[in-house]
Amino acid sequence: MSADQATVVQARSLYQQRLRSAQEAYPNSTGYEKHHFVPLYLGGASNGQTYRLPTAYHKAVTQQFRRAWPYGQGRRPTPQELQKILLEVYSEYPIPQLIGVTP
Amino acid sequence: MRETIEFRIAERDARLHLEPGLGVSLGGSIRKVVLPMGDARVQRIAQLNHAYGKRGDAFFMSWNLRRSYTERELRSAELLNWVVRAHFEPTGSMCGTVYDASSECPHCGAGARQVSELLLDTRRIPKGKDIAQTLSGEMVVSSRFASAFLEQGLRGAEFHPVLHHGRGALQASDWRQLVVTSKPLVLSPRTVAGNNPFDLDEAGAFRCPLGHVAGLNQISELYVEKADRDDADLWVTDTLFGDRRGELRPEPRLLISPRLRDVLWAMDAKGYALEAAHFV
Repeated sequence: MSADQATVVQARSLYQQRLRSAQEAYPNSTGYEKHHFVPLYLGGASNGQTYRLPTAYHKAVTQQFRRAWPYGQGRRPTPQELQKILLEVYSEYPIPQLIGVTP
Repeated sequence: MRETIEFRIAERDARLHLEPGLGVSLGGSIRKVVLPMGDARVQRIAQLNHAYGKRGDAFFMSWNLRRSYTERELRSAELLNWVVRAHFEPTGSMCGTVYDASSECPHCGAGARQVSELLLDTRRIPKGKDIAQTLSGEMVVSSRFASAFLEQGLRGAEFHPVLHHGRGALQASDWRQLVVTSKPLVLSPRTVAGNNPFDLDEAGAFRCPLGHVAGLNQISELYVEKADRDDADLWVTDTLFGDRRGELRPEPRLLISPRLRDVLWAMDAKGYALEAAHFV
């Protein structure tokens, strides 16, 4: 297995683990929601790239974004800071479609 | 005034460079570190961020300067920065509010003119607040705040209707749009703006060449020119902060008189913080 393949396998396993944790944390959050790849509060466009995520997982991703850059601070990240936030959040909470998983 | 700074740092980076007991873990992968601005570790973190920046990375993901004041300091301030703490989305334009973008600055995106009533999903306005703003900077106040402002004879603002945009027809709401009508106060160059407290944007990447925007973020307390000040109780700065990015727009800062501060305190208003500001 190549290093790239191993990374994808690891990310899929992490997604399943995070999804289970999210469903335990938000048992009443069923169905799916649209997730903006760059959240609006960080400067994402309302018509920007979105992914359909299980609602519980969407909540967990949103919470992780807000840990990285709290909501409603009246400040803006630099492009470098934004890149760091996206990398850190999505390395912990992968977007399933980007690792070949149908949510 | 006590100034602290809060950082959010990836746990992996924090483990590499910071002492283990410094800060608290958020969810296991992010560390929150709060330090007084004068603490030597703040400079260490700034140096680390600079070093990370040289390789196209960043050491901290987020920073936040907090200035806290004693009641006496706020009582003695001749001018105050009214900092809105309650934010929400969707924005007005996402709910159908119409803007004329023809007057928008091609450099910084400031200057779009609202040409319809403000339409919002008012269910999304944070509960129990007296002032809140959308991610685009549209400001709404509670009807009790608008009434108190008018009853006390305060000057410098109008309160326009906010229409609720839900699934059905537009409906009237209890919220009012805060429209500042006083003459904007001229931001003094003593006000520090920048990308973060350690990067004041020397290259001017986020400063508007036409002077509309001072920088990406407000770093210091606000300083404004005393000359040409009118006798209002609420003002905006003539120069803005931020950038045009997605739904975000450059925004002015709000300033209030001690009279308006007293009204806010008397009604125990919610959704804001106050910082001292200065006439120069």
